[in-house]
Amino acid sequence: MFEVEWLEVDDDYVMQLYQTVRIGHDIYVLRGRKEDVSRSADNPSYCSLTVNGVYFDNRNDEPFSLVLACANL
Amino acid sequence: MQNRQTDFKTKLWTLIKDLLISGYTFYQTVPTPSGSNVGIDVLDPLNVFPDKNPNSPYIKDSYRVVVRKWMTKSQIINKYGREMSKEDVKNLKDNWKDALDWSARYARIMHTSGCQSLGIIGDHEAVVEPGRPSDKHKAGNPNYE
Repeated sequence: MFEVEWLEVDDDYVMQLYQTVRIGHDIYVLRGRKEDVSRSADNPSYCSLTVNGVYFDNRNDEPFSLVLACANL
Repeated sequence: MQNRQTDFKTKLWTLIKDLLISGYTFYQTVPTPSGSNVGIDVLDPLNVFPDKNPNSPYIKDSYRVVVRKWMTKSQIINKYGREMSKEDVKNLKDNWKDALDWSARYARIMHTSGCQSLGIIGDHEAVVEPGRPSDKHKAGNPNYE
């Protein structure tokens, strides 16, 4: 199954978070706009995805594995 | 912060390990079942497909992301059943019965003497024997059927 979420800006310039779930090939849970999105007081018109994390890419936009880079030491 | 449900230590360890090995680490903030707190789910880098924002190394600044999850039928119904239509729940129960009703079980890739199952599922599972490297007919590694 797949959980998809994306950001869109409404007509009033406020960013909104949308979510949809696909189960198998043909079952969809259309959640639509998420109401309880966390926003900062400093910039309430901005929101972010619920998924977070970080990636270390090299200059070629490829993931950089520190363990692999140190493998030959 | 560190209790049986939250388990931040293990999650942090997993996140650091993912970052050092794969160069990616992902987690998702989710409301707890009671809706009164926030939980953190660590996601497998192999199952997360972000649309990268080139201006930020953080996934939260991306504009869309797909998370693939592997769940049993029971887990799906438990988590999404309230949001699904009755037709979809029936479709899931009827059409996915044979594929996901059982827990994953070990079976041998190579078993020349046929099925010698002693288990309760009969012909659907095979005996898992340790074997030695010299046993050619038992050289296959156990895998999830």
